[in-house]
Amino acid sequence: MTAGEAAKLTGRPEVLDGPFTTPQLLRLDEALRLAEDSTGLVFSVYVGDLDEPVRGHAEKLHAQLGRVDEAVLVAVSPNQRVLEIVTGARARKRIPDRSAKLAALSMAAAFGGGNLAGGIVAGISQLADQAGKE
Amino acid sequence: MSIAETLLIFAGIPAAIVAAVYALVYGAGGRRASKRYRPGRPFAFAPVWFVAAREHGVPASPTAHAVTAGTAKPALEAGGTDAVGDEPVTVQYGETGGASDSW
Repeated sequence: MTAGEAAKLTGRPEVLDGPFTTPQLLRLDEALRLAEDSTGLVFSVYVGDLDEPVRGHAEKLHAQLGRVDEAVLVAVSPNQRVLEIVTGARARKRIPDRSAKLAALSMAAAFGGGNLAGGIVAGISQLADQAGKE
Repeated sequence: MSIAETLLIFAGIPAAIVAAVYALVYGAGGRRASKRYRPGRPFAFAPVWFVAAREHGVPASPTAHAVTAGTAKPALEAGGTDAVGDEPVTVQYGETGGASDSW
């Protein structure tokens, strides 16, 4: 049984037990959807612990996404206080590493102030802006 | 006014008000504050993984959001358990770019 089925049985989605409040979840959902609709890339956000090496684990998560070449993963580990942005081969052409670093910097600044959801939303919109239109 | 009445009015009532304010602050507000992430404090929440809802063909709505997050979770657990065994797979995607940062 998947987590989704479990959520249907209990009537309460498990994601509500996560670190975000309902308004934050809605904002995150909106940001992901807008980013994906405007760029055509696959955006994904992971919040949780990453195994060492952190970069390798983030790349492994990225490889599990559909359309890997066009996928952009933002992996945030609040415990380790690290964040990784992984872009697929085609996504990398539209979001150069330097732009990804810029988004990572602004996200890290928000996370340092304790603003997890706000940092993620701002980072996604920055990455989507950089990727431009489809 | 007897001593008992005096005590009740001048010590009992202020004590009750203090207790009520204490309960309001730490009873109701404390639970909400625990959701917040504070740098340096342990982060005990279960990992979450969000994918935009478009992939599943579900129109945007609060329920669609829940479904997205829920279905994404098994993939995450699979990645976590066999983290060591699947190491060579990532080599195939060596063209990945991106950036790292810490705070």
